[in-house]
Amino acid sequence: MIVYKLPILFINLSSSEWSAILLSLKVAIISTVVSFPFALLIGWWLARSTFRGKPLVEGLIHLPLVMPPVTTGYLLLIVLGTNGFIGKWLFQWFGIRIAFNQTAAILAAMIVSFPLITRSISTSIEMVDTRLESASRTLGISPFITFFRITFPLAIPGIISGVVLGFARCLGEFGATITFAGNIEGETRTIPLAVYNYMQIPGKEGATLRLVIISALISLVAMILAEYLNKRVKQNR
Amino acid sequence: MAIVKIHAELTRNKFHFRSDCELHSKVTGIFGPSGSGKTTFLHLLAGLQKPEKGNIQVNGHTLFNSDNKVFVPAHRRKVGYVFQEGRVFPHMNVERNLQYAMRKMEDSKSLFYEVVELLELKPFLNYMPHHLSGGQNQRVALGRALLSNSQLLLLDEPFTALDFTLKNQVITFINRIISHLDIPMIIVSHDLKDLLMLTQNLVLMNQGKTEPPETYLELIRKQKLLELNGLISNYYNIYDGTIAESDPSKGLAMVEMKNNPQLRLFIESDDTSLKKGVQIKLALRGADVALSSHRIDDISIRNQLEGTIESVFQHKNHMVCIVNCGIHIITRLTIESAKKLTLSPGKKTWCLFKSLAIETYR
Repeated sequence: MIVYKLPILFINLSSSEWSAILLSLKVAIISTVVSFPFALLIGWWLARSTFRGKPLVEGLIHLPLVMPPVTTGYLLLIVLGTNGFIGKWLFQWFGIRIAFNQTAAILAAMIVSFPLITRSISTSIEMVDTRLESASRTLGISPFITFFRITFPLAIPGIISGVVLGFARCLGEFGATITFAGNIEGETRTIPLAVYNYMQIPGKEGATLRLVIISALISLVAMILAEYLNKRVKQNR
Repeated sequence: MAIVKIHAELTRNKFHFRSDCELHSKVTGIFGPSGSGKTTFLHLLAGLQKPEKGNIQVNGHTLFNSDNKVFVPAHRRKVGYVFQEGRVFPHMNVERNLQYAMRKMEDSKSLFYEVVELLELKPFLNYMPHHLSGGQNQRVALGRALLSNSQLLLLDEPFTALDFTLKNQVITFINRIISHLDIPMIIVSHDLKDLLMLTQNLVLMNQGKTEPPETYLELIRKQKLLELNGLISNYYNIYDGTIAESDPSKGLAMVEMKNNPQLRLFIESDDTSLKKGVQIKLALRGADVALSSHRIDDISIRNQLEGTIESVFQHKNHMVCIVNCGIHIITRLTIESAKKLTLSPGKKTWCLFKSLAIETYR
């Protein structure tokens, strides 16, 4: 039944449902794209460096992964909210307000998904044989170029899955967003927040179900795309 | 000018490495037992390890100097390295591996085709490395290093991972590179015969220390090689030669020696591709050579050379005798036989060995 009605789903979407979907995609895409270079850098650093206190640094980076998202959101509020110790300063000097707007939603999604992407990237870089990297250097190729010609392509399956995991995590982000960015329609109300909202209003069961199905579809498409990309990479080898 | 000067010291996990040597010949072999520091020697030259103190120069360029705090990183050294395991990049096909370090294809197109031809890699250019055999992978690694604009090539045990046939193939290819391309090489091996197939100039390495380079014959004569216990017992003689005559139907060929064109040896061969003019390497075990005070006519031994004994000495439970017959032949015999023949330097003697005793390599 549901499958049969799928096309109708999209036709019947209300403007607030559309806005939740588009906002979700926007937040997820921007935060994944912005996180990626940092995740790559930190992931590489964690994979290839040894120093004292590395477990502590790793723990701090991975903290949002294990902390309840609501507490992460609360910490963000304390730090970056208009009364927070950095937020206050940003507002007073630059007039920048971070909490309770789209930037906050993106930032919350970034913070929560970042460890997931970083972890996947660093694990896949760890798997790349460092001996291939030193072989590249003896061929006259600098460590920087070696990273992009040897390490990155060999780690690509893990990198792709890290990005997809991160993207999905952004889509599903709820706790940190509602605490730090609020639940403002068109501004911070992503799919999970909209679902939460509709669930509390009688007669919105249809809208709730539509959003649930659509978010499942988006995640499914992302995973299939990742699998496809992975296959392409492997075929080219 | 020395190709390589390496005066360096390094201590790692109670292993003390110390090298004081200068290499002048185009191809040098580093020989020593496992764990003697041979790979460290190469790593220091390639910049993969940093000495604690000393001075390293290649072709007149200082790559390391602890006094001036100079350390040129690996990628700026122009020192190519062929690793034991090849380390061919698994995500690139053979062609892309070979071209990996080529700056501009246009400039080195001819070298690319020359290397592909020398190493017989043309049929595999589109292959991915996991479809290649160990020997083919090693050839790709060799080609890749040759095309990287290196001024010096280091080969670290290039044949250990290979079986006998593949090993001989790779030796052939390396010899082709040596004779066709003008690039100095340092080759490390714990197998003396493999090394001798490529060069007679050796640096001995033992317990982290290097000796100045000397020829194989000198090292035998000075009994230095013999101190590396258990590593040599066969006293291989390796010669370069050219096929002068070949009669596959009789299973015989005659080889003109490179060092002494007047001298010809019989080898056993039914290989029809061994035509006149083909260059080959001959390996003869010292123990397969018999000494006699005169020529023996009614005997099946085809190679009988007269020579003068240059040195004779006892090593452990056997005698070693070096005879100059126009080529130097190192022979091994029992103490009893040596006594009976009353061998002494300056004395004339005949070296007898069957054509079958000579192993040939292309």
